[in-house]
Amino acid sequence: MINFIYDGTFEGLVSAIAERFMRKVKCVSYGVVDASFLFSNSEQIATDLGLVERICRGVIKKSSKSVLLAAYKIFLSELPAKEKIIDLYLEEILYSPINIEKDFTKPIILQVRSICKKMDREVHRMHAFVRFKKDENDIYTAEVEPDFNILPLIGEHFEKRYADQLWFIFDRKRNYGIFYDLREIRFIELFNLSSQSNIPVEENDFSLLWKSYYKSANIPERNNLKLHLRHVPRRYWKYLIEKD
Amino acid sequence: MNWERVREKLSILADAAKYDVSCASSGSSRKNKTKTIGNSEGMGICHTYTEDGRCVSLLKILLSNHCIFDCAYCVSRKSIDKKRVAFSVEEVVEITINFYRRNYIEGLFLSSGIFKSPDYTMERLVKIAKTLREIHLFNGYIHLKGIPGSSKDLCNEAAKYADRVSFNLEIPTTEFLKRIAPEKNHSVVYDSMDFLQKEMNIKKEESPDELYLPAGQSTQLIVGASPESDLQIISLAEELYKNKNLKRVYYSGYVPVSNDSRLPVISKPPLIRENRLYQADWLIRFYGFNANEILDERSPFLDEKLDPKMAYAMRHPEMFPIDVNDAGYFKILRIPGLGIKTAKMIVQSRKFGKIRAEHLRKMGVAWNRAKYFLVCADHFAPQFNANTKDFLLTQTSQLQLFS
Repeated sequence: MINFIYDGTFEGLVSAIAERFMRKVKCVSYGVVDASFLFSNSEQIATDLGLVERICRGVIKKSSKSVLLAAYKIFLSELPAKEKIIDLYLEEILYSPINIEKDFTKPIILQVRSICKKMDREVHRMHAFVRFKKDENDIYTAEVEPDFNILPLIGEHFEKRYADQLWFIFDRKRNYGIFYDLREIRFIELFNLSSQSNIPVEENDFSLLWKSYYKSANIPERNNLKLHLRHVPRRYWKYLIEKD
Repeated sequence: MNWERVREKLSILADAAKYDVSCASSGSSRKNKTKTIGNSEGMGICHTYTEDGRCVSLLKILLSNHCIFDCAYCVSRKSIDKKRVAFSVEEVVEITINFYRRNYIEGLFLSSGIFKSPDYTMERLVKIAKTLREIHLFNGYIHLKGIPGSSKDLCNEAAKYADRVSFNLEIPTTEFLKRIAPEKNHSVVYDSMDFLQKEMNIKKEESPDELYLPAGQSTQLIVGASPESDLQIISLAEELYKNKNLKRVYYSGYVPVSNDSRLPVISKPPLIRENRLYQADWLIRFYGFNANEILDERSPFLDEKLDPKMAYAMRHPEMFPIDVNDAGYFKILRIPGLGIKTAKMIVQSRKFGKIRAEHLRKMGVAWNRAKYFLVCADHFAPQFNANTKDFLLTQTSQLQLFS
């Protein structure tokens, strides 16, 4: 079993997978850092962007953009077996005689679908649960702790919607954020968010107003905690103003 | 803003608006082409849920809870002793924009009690929508309540600025509406619905790129305030969908808000019945069922214990079993224990080879229920007997959320 070391990026992984296809070997594991030199059968694979682009175009031509997006989503899912799953998925797609992306009798297709469903649900939850507070620099700032690494997937939605305001969404679990400067989105690494911004007092008034609205919108005769928790699990309450 | 005063008004006017259960923020196609604020295309978003489990998608408020009408089922009816307040146009605009910027809401749902006259009220609702669109260049979702009796000109104006407009029928049949809310009448509601439907068709032909009520119309029926059967309710809904092109009908379980003798005395709202009506509604809109297949004169009420699709399957054993490797999509949809996503997967996958029981189970079919109604490459539906029906009754899981 050879261990391919890649640079930790999606493009790096695709380069390593492409290398396995080219060498026609079966038993390969993928890793990011050669943590222990016990494995003398480790090999570092360079990231080749030209090759990656050719593979991606090949995948799209054989199947669709959705397949590529699905592979990327699996990468962001942080599952320990993510590299193996993406490898198996791309191999099936590229080497089957016809396009099998919708053959749900194949376990790998179902597995990819299931992981993408989880990712999509988390993305949708972030669209819903991100709560901005305007700071002293007029930047609308929000903090989240998503189950998966979905920040790369949510920027476009917020860019379209809040095209005329500065905004910043920080993933406290993973210590990085996305910042929109009215022209484009940038990824920002931060070590301590709280030192970065001050929230003016007026912001508190809006939070109170929202809490007031939230309370009034409930119909107590229909109270249903089970249903409520199914829609808003407790782990999201931390950054929801109305749940404070 | 006088924060305390605004907070008080918001509490009162949000509380009064919550019985209008329409909650959708989807179905529009309003893109942010101007790089200003807001974007409303595609899927709606539920930004939070209240403790009763219902979604909060829009800022849903009355402009004012003053009302010249006295409808028995309404919390804001004239004869009730209550604090009456009103927002100014500027206040509504200010709150909407600021809530939107903070990602609390998808947009605004604006209704009102009728003060002075229907036209006077509707004019102010339209003014708020117009201000949001033209002065603030707001592309978020706006749902305006149609005030019954307002002029066609104002309806037309509303359609220019709103994504959706709704006129509520409330009581399903005219006979009972007359008894409970004598100042209202259905013909006024239908007139406005028909007018907008006609205008929308004209606009689609003449200026298809112009946004004119892109998310269409909806309405609400109150369930349990009057004695109509479920068959009457879903037949009405079907008619509204097919002939008046409505996008949604909402069913709102009657919440007892008054001691008026014209209304039934109930201890809690009919939530299970409401849930079954939504399931029946889904069968009509997405599963290809007709109202008269779901219910008929002999059984005009939906079964409380069984979901309507299962109830249909048990009443029509001659239609089953259905072969998943052979039958068309809409036939497959009739198999209890599988839904639209699974039916689509089945139809897509069988091109590659015969579907077997293990495939169906992995796709998420509720096998314990479905196996009695289908055939696949390695499975034939077992015989239906007296015990089967009892067994199937224990398998229904949806009601756990409402018990």
